[in-house]
Amino acid sequence: MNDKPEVDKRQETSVTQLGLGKHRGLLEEFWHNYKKNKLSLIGGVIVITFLIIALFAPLISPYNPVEQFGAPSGEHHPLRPLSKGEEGRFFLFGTDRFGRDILSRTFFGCRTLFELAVGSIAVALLIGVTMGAVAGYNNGNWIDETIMRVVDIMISFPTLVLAIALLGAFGIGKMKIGPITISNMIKIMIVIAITYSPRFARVMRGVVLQEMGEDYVDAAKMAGASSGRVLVNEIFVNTIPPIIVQASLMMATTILTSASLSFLGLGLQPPIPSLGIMLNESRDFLFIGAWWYAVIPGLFISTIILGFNLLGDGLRDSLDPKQARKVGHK
Amino acid sequence: MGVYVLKRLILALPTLFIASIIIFLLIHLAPGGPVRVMLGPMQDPSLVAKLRSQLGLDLPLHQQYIRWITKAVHGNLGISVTIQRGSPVTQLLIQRYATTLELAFLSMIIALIIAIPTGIISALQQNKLADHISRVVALIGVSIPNFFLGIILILLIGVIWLKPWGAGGFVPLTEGIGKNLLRMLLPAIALGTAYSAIVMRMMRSAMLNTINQDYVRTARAMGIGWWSILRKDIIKNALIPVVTVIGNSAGYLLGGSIVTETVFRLPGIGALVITGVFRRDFPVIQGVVLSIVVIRILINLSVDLFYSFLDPRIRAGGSNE
Amino acid sequence: MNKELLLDVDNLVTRFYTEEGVVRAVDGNSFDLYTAETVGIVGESGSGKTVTMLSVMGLIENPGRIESGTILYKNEDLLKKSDKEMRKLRGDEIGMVFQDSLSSLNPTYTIGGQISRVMKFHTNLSQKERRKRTVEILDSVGIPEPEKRAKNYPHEFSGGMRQRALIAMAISCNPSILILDEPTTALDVTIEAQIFELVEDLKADFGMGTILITHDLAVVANSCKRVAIMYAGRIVEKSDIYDLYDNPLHPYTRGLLNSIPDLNSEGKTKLPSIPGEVPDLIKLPDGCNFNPRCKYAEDKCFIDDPELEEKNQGRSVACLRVDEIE
Repeated sequence: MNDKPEVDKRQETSVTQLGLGKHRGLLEEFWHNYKKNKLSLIGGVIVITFLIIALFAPLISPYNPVEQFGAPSGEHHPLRPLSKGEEGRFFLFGTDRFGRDILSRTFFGCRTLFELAVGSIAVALLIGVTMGAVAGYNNGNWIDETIMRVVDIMISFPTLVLAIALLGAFGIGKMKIGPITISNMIKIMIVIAITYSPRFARVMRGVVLQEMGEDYVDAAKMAGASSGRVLVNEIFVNTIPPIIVQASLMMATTILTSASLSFLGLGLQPPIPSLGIMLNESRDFLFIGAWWYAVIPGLFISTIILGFNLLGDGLRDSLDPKQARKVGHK
Repeated sequence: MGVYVLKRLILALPTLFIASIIIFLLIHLAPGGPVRVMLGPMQDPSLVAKLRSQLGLDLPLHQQYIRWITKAVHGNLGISVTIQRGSPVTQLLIQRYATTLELAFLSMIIALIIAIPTGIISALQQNKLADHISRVVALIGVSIPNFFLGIILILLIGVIWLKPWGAGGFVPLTEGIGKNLLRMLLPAIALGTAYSAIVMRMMRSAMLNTINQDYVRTARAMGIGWWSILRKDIIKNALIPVVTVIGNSAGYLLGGSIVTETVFRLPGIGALVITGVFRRDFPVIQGVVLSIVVIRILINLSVDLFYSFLDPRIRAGGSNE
Repeated sequence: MNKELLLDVDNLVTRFYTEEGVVRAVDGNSFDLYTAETVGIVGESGSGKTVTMLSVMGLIENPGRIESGTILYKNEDLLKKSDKEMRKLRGDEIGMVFQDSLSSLNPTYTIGGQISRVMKFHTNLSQKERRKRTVEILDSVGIPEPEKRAKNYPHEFSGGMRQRALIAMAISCNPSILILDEPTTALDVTIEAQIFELVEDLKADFGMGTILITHDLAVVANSCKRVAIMYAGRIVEKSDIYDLYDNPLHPYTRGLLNSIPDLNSEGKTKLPSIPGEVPDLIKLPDGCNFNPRCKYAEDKCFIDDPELEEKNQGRSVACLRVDEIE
């Protein structure tokens, strides 16, 4: 579930068309529009709730997520059903195949999911914004052409397929390049970042081109500012808001990609608590009726993604000037 | 029309070229070089050298590329090194694609059957109950990862309702279409319903956009019947952008089928490429990725053609972007 | 030809209930139309001209509503007709041609097909007869090689030809009334003249009553006998076109007339335009709607709302100070 080109396209155009940050009071106007949309408010609440769970996972988890509790007395398997209490312990969502507390693993799973998604977006921003800015500033010449060609082609790869191909090259688990060891987590962040950076590059290039056409850039150039200065001072400041909006809109798909990779066994590796891995493991226990093993982490992932989708829709709607109500008079 | 097809084909070539370079360079990204990675810790220098020359890795990079791409154009994607040692990758791909394409095709049909009518109804009932319900369901549908949806389906249908379906296995096409369809159906529903949420949202917004077009007002002002306006003015024009989206998101179906195949343990290209990644079978990885890109480009081409059939402006104009 | 009353609109009120407030798009307007004449309705964009006509056609949609008034077409009240009756009437009895000819035609449907479809819904002609009639109509509106052109798509037509095709569509069932909404705005002057010539011919041949909506008084001068000037949802002046030119009564009409280029003046003198903008139809000013832009406005204009009052021989004006200003 990683490619939603149609959604992205719309987001890109609407975000680039905004020219955010140029009008005073835009933030207020945005808030006014945003809070009218109840669904996006719900999205915001969901996202904040899960953010709190992720941040405070070590505090709110009843057990250590990797601690294995052996099979309860009289049982052969450490898998425990829902709300199972024994000898002073209580497992609200039961335990997994190794006797680890599912609730705690789910909380920590949210934490790793957020770490991964936020990290990936940050790296993707770094790569994409640089590419887009360079391309936009070189508008039309061969540098621009080359960058954008590569960007177009990378976007034409299905994201998950590109990520799998990159993981094929890098290998699974931690990676050694000469003396440097890159942890698995960082490696996955880089892989996801590479697959999403072209989208940021496109947005950034669009915004830069738009900004370059603005009078204040010409004014700065005429006043004798160097190209680099113009790029940083005048353009960059004005491109931050649309890029941030784009980044938040892409959180949902990034989370989906990282969860999918973990589910496929290519992403995070056990024993790290990961919602994707939990779902993968649960498949072996569906036929003995251990539905909660799959359903609990699945609901967590789905709700987080739903939250970001709602938030994203709300953000886009309240920022899109085209949404201004059409009045029937002429 | 023929000229148009040719034009589109030629335009697709540079894309294919650059994509093939990216894919080719991928294996050279492997830290320490692909051969060392494939052989693992046991590295007899003479074995390394042998494998290197066998795979042509001792040649300069550009020669390697030319060798690889020339063979690829002739349908030779190399030999699998770890998964099925010695088997041609092309042969593996053909075996596996039968499953994947069947899954993708079935999913597409299921998705369209759900999405197009729902999108139309939702748009016509804009901001009424039916619209709210289908939008919320679609939003939830977009948000549930399809591997989770697959697991839910297995739980609901496979475990509780229809145990004999046994969602776990796969029957090759040769063992009876009916049985095969039945087993493919569950994965196709999982992938198709997830995809339908995306298409439905697109269809809805395309419909809403078309409903407000001036030519719809013209048709109404001419006293044309509601059904004719819906069919010839609204739906026909709304389908144009939707067809593009369906084409662009063919990659979604291929990516999604990788995940869905894993959920349902189907032996498609998804399973192949994942095993390839685990066992560092670079020719297989390259072959799968290249074939997906080629299929995508072919789908985009056929969408373009279909598009020109739908939209007379393109038919005349030639190129569209 | 006998002059017969075709359309009699009385005290029409149309409003749109939006989230931002109530839009008073048409606010108590009355006008009529006889056979074989052209009535002009003039006003800036946003003054409610198009909504007035859409009300007549029964094409007002949510959140819009016709609040009150009567629309008599051949002595039948259109507001009392069912949706189905109205649909049969549209295109058959009353035809309407819209402003932007490119966006007003279905891009994926041949011109001939679109015209033929109108007849399919209003006549009993067979497909073959309709096709034959389509070619005849295209020919009659002056499209060369009509047989071949009928198979073209809108984008293959020039702007003027598309406008002719739209007119062909609107007159394909010989309506009694033809409403033209800014039919020539996007066209150049020669084509504009040809289109009006075409309309004149149709009027003479079939006794059609025509309503011409425009923002351009000069356009009206060439083709209408009677005009109504609209401002912010209201008709502010109704007059014979010659009287209007000789002696505009309403300050707004004066402003409009001043902004028409005078052929006699030499060189490029800057045209005086009316300062300000059409008011927001949600928040209309107290008193006269025109008071923010009126150079004659005095205290009473900000308190009392002027009614459209008959002055002399068919001239009416809605201005409190009409007798005081010269």
